[in-house]
Amino acid sequence: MAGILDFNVPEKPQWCPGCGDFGILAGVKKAFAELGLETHNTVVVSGIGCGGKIPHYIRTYGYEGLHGRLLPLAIGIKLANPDLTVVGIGGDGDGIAEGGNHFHHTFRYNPDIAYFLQDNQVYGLTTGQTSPTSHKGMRTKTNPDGVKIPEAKPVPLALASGATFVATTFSGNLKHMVEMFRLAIQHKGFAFVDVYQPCVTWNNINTYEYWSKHGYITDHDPTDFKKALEKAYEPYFTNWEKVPLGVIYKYERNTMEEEIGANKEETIRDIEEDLKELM
Amino acid sequence: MELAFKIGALAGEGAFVAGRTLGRIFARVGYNVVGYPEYPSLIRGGHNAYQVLISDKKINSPREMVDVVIAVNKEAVLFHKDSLNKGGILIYDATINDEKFNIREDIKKVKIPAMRIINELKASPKMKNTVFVASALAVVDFDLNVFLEMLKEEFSRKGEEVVRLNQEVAKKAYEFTKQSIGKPLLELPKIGEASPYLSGNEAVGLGAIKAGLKVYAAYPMTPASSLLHFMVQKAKKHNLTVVQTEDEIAAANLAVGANFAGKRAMAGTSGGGFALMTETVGMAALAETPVVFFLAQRTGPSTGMPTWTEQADLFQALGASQGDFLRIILAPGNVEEAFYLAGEALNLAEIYQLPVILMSDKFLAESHFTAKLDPNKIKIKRGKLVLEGLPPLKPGEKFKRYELTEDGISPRTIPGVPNGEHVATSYEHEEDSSTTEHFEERAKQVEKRWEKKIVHIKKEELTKPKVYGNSKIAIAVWGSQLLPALDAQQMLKEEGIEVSILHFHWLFPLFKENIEPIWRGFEKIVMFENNSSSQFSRLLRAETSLFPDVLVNKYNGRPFFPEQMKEVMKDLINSNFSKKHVKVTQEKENYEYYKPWRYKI
Repeated sequence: MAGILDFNVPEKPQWCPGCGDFGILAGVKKAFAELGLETHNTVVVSGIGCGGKIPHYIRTYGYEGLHGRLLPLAIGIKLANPDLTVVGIGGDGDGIAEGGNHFHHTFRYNPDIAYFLQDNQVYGLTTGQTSPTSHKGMRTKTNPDGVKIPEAKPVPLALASGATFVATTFSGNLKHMVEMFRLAIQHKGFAFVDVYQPCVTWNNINTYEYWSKHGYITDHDPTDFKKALEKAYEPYFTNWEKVPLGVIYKYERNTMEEEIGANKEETIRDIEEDLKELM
Repeated sequence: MELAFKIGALAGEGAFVAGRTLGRIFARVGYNVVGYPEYPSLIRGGHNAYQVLISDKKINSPREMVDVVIAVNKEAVLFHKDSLNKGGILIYDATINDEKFNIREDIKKVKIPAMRIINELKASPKMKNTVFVASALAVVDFDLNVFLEMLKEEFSRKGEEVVRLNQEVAKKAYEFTKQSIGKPLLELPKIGEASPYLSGNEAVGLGAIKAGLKVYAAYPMTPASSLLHFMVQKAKKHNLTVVQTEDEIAAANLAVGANFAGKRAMAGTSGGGFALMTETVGMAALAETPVVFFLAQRTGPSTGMPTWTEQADLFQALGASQGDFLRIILAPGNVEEAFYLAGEALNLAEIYQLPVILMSDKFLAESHFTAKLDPNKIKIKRGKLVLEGLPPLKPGEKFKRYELTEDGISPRTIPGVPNGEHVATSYEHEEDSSTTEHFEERAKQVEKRWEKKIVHIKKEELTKPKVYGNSKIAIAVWGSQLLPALDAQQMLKEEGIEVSILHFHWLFPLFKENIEPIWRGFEKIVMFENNSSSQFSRLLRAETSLFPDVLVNKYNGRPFFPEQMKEVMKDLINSNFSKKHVKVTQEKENYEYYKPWRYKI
């Protein structure tokens, strides 16, 4: 069993001072250690963006893939070896814009993978353009007069797509975030955590103060789908006045590995019979 | 001997089932068989045809002209009557009014009352196929028992009654045809043992399974879909994980992920889907994750003609993804090569830790051939894969996944192996996989991935083109066009003209040292490409400065027919190679399958 120090690397993360990614990185390592994961049996998969650099700062196996494509990459890893703990981590541009198609289908598939969305409502690495989750009215490089189009809704989208585990958290609340990460990794199936995260360089609206003020810990019954829907939509109905943090919804069904038969046995390489069948 | 049948029917009426069954029957008693389907991109309302060519000698490719046409509907009479050889037989459904068609005097007409036979036996109209297969067999005085046995195997899971009815229908149609035909066209006895009768896609599937493929990911697209179906069918027995993904991007990434985690995986598609996979090709190259892409070409660009063939995606395969990187591109010439090269593609991907693109096309992918395949020739070679015993790492240290070695290939390990922790990354990296933008480190990794590896790839025997024959005049081809070339060579020989064939199954990287000595052995080289712009000839010139004497192109949706290659070669030889470029666009049978109603018959 690995301790938290075993997940450390000497390399210093190159994020802006105060970036929400530092909290997420600390939270992921803490959750790994608390769950007793082993470094060699854990794979962190990312796409591209500021947050996409995260596999390099955790000493496990990792794959830093393409922008928007971390979910199918992670599924491939999980199907090849279901014994691995596979965790996908990526931003809102990566997951909701570029990877939108994979995002909603992965809920249907329900692979036993945890997926943490670094949701900072803005594009960081490409220097401050609008994100699908940018709040209406926010001024960005690509919307200098304010964003006109309503934001994408990852949590309601997850519920509509057949999610078996959906949680929200805030990167400024380490204790809560670690708990959500832990529950997500422990969940049997695709576990999605929408992590509200400040971008200190490009987003001066959704700050630490903002999330501390509007976020509240929800204590509803996460197995109640109607209640979950209500909570999922609450930020949008209240214009972000009230943002529930916690497990929004949870239930269990068979995983993709079980349903499509990610057979752990090696392939049978005897094809004589197959050739006979073609005669 | 050689005999060609063609079954034509309305799309959905079962020409393919009947054709494939007929092919299997002859394959079972020792004949060499080629089966060639043609169909439009429609489920109902178009025309379908399936040619079955049989011979006691090795044959490779469908013919322009056939000996027996089986017309299930009236369009089939119109479409195929003129591609009958002199003295050929036209079998057609009795409901068709033959007076409307100007059928040549030399053609023997056989009317089959298919529905009457079915109704009299109170059988299902679905058994129309059985009628026509049995009729075809009667024409060549073939032992019906082979077919009766096959019907039993085919339908026993549907119950004894279905088997019995099918057999009765077959017997009655067989007897009826025999009586109306009088003397059979020729007699075809059993001549040998059964061989498998399989498509190019099935050969790729079996070769890959034999080579340890574990994961196959694809989004349906003609003509790659039949490989997806085949793998689904084989999944349980061979412990395969077969995934139909939400799109081709997902299929490509899933295959890369599975390979990273240590399981051999392949993503399959056609040109349009491969366009979506391209970014992933580059990722696999930079991260040095082995992966095989199966690219079954069809007529493009864009939607093009989805169910017809072409060899026009070579430049796409060559240029897939941004940046400079090494990839290997293979194009099997027949089912045997499809089988062995599928295995080799998986080996090469792991040995050299790079993407391999295995190119087929609609013609090879969906046509059927008898073949002798030796599974024991496929060996698994995994290169520098280390699965245990890695030395302990210091705290915080990562495994040197991208270690700079003499041959450019670094030791590779997979998740689950202790002390192998590293990041496979699409970003430029140092030896221990951490991100870098250091100029020297970058240059070293670039050289490792291309310059160093290619020295060793050059030594692969597979990189050399294959020569068939001893003549100084060569038909040059790549990929599937080996098939008509082999038969054209034989046809020319029968007319006293010797030509050789120079076949390229290895398309990239090309090595002048490996090609030139062979190339210089010929006095004249005529390159036949199933595309309009001679993509391979242009690539060859760019890479080796070698260029064919004559370019021949066909790009109407069909492969070259051997008769067409033969005529082109004869003209060229007779004119002392006075032409530099020949286009083959005319067909003997020139009807459109997509809109059969336009002929108003």
